[in-house]
Amino acid sequence: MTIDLEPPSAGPPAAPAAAPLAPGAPLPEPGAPSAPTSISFEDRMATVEFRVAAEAHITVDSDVCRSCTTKACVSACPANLFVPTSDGGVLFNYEQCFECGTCYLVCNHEGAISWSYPLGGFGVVMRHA
Amino acid sequence: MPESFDVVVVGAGPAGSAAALVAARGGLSVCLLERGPFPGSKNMYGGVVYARILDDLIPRWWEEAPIQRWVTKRSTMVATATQSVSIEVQADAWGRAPYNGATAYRSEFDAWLAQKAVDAGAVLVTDTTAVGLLRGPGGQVTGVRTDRPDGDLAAQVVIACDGVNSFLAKEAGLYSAFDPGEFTLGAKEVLHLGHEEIDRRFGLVDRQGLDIEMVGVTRGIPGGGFLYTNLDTVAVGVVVNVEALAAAKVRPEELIAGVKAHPTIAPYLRGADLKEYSAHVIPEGGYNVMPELVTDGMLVAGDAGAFCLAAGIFLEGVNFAIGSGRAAAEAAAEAIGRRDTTAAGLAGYRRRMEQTFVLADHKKMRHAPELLLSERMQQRYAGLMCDLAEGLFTVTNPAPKPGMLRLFRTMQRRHKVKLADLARDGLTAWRTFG
Amino acid sequence: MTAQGAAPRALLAVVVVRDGVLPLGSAETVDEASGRVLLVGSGTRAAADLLKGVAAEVRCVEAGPFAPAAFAAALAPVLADEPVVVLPASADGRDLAPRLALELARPLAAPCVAVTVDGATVVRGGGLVLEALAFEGPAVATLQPGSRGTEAPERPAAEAVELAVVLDERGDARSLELRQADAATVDLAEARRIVAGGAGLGSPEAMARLQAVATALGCATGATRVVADAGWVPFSRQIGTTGVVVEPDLYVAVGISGAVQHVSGIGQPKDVVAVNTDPSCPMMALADLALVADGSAMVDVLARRLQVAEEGLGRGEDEEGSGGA
Repeated sequence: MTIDLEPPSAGPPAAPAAAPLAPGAPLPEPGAPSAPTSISFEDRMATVEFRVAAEAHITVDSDVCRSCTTKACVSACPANLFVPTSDGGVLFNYEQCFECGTCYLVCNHEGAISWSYPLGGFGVVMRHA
Repeated sequence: MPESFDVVVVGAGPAGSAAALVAARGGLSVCLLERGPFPGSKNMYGGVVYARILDDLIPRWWEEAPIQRWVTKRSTMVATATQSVSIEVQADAWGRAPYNGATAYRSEFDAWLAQKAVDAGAVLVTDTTAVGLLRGPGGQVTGVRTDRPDGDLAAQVVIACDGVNSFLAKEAGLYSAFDPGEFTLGAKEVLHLGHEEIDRRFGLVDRQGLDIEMVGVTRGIPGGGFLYTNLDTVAVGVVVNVEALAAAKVRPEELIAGVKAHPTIAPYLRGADLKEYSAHVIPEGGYNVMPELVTDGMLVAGDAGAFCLAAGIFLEGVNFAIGSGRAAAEAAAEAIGRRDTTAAGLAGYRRRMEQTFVLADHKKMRHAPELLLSERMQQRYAGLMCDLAEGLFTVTNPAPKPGMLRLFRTMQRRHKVKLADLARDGLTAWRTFG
Repeated sequence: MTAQGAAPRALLAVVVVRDGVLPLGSAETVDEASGRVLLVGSGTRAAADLLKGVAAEVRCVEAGPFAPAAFAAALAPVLADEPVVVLPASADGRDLAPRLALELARPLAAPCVAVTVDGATVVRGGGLVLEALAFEGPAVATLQPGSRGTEAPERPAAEAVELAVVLDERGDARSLELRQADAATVDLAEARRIVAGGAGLGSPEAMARLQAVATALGCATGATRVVADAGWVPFSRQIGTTGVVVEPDLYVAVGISGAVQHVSGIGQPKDVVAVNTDPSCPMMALADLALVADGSAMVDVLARRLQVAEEGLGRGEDEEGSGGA
C-alpha cells in the first residue's frame, strides 16, 4: 500500500507518475511520455556485482565540502554515490563504487576526497563490460 | 612464492598480460599482479578490440580468443536531435580469418590473455593491490608494496600497467598533474536482446557484428556515443569530457538515455532489458599529454601511459595497450640482459614505440582530440552536415532543385560556420587523418 | 539414548532455550544438522514445537535457567558419542560452546558459516577470510546466524524425547537480576523491532531525533553504511553486508533507498514500513506500507507527537554499544 503524503507541488512536479517499470518490462513506445530512465537507479546498480570490503576505500571530508559551491561530484558520479546534506556537507557511499576516478578529477577542493582502490579482491566486478 | 622476480607487472589487463607473456617467453621470472578477483573484472571499454597486433604473439589467436562478434560493419554517425548522417562501411574480409575488429567481454578476453601469460610461465597473483613503489638507495624503483601482509615484491624492472588512475606512475613522479579536461568518462549499458533478435534488427548473420560511433548525441557536452553488438547483448553508451560533464551538471545515465532515445537508435533497442551498467575513465589527451614513460627501474604501459586513441573516427585502446606492454617487456628483457635497468638502460622502450604504431599513430593524431571535441565539430558542423544531407535529398517540387552550392551557403549561414574556420579545420583533418 | 549400536556419523545441534524462546539462528543450525537437535534450558517442549518441519529428531532437556558451566558438565556424557556438536552462535551458544569443548576435551571451531562431520568453514579476520578446516577427530562448532538460511524440505514432525540430567553447581555466575533489554542499546541482531535511518534524513540532527523516536516506540535504532561512514551513528548500528545482519518482526526504514548492500541485512520482517520521497525506490517497493514523504519531516512530526527530545548520538556510544555481529 502506498500513501502519498507529499504536499501538492511544493516545487517542480515530479516526472509523470507512470507506475515504476519492473526490470524486464518492455520500454514505452517512442513518443510516449516517459521518465528519462525507466528503471530506478537502485535497480540499475543492482545489475552490477560489488564485493563490499569492510573498510571504505574512498572517504569524503564533509567539512571541506561545506565551502564548495559547485558540488560537481554529485551530478558527475556515474554511480550516484554523493548525496548533499541539508547542512551543506556531502555524504558518500563507497559500497557501489565503480572506482572510475571521476570524483577526484572533478573535485576542486583540496583534501575533500581521499581516493584509493579497494582492498585487493574487493570492489566492483564487471562481467559484461 | 618467491618474493623477488626479474619483472613485476602491475595490472593484468591487456597491457600487463602482453608484457608478462613476452617477458615470460623471454625466460624472465615474472609476477603478474591483479587487484581484482580475476583479470578483466576492473576493465570496461567502448568496445572493439583490434587484435592484429596479436598475430605473431599468439598465432591464429582468432580460433581461441573469447570473441562475441566480428565487426563486419562499422558506422560513423553525425547527428542532431532529429537527424543523422551515417557512413557505414561493410567488408566481407572483416568477417573471416584473419579478421579485423571484434567485440568481447573484457572479463573473458582479459582473463584469456592473462592465461596465455600464465601458460608461458608468469605467476598470476589476483586479489592483490599494489599500493606503492619500493625504492633503492639511489631512488631507483626496486619493486612494489602490496596490500597483503608481508606483501613486498622485489623486481629488477616494474612494468606499471595499472590503468588510467595509475598510482604508481603518479608516485614515480611521471604524471605532473591530473587535468580533468584531458579525461573522459565512459558510461555504458549492456542490454539483453538475444542472438537472433540482434541478427534481425541489425542485419547480421551469426557472428557478424556492428559498431556505431556517434557525434552530436551528448547534449552539447564534448564527446560521443557508441553502440556495438555482442552475441546476445547490445552495448550502448557515451564518452564525455569529465570537466565539461561536471560543468553541465547532467547525470551520465541521462546522457545514455538520450542516445537510446535518439530517433536513429531507438528502434534498434525497443524492449531490451538492462543486463549490466558500468563506468570507467579514459585518458584522452593523446600525445600532447602523455606522461614520461620511463624511470630508473620502471616502465609505464597501457592506459597508465595514456595510450588511448580517441580520434573521432578511430577509437582504439586495447591494441595500444598490447603493443605498449609488449614493447615494455622487450625493453625490460634487454635492460636486464645488459644489467642496466636505469632509465637510460630502459630507453629501448620509447624507441620501440616510436618505431611502431603505438607512438606513430598517437603522434599523427595528436590534434584529433582537440578538433573532434571542439564546439565547431560537435555542434555546428554536425548541424551543417545533417541539414545539408537532408536538404540534398528533400524533393521540393514544384520548386526545382536548389543546387549543392546554394544549399551549402544556406546551411553555412544558418549554422554560423565561417569558411575560414572550415578551411583551417579541413587542413588539420587532412594532416591528421590523411 | 547414548551408545546404542554404532554412533551415527551425523551432526547434532545443541540449542539453549530460555522460557520457550529460541535464539537467533536456531532453525539454520538444526537444518545444518539435518534435523537432529538437543534442546536444553527452560520451556524446551514449547521450543520443540517452534521447530516443527525443521527438526526430525528432538531431545529435550529441561534444566531450568541458563547456567553454562553446569549445563556443559551435565550434557558432556550425553554428547560424548556425537562426533560433531554444533550450536548457533547466539549469545548463549557462544557461552556454552567453549565450555562444552572443554568438558569434552575437543577443539572448538567458531564461528563457522558451514559445518559437516568432516570439517567446517571458519570465519577469520573479522569476516575477511574463510578458512576450510578438516576435523581430525570429534569437535564442537558454532554456526553464524544468517550463514545459510533454512532450505530444508518439510521434515516429518518428530516426537520430542525428554532427557533428564543432573545439574550440580559448577561455579557459574549467579544471576542477580534480569533486566529487560533497553531498546536504545539492545543488540541489534536480536532486536525484534527496528527503526533505521539513511541518507534521506539529510542531517545528523534528524538522525538523532530518529533515535529518540525509535526509543520512545520501544524499537532499536539502525542505519545504513553511508550515514555510519559520515559519523552520524556508530558502526554498531549499521545494518547490511558489512554491518549487522538483523531478523526483526518490524522494520521501519526512513530515508533509505534500499540498495542491495543494505537490504541483504534486514532479513525477512513480517512488516516493513518505508518513508521516502521517491516512490519507486526498492525500499518502497518491498514495504508493506510505503509513505511518500520527507523522512526528516516525518521524524519531526513523530517526535512532537511522542514528546521526545533529541538524544545524543555519536561515535562515543560505540564503546558501550552491545556486541554486534
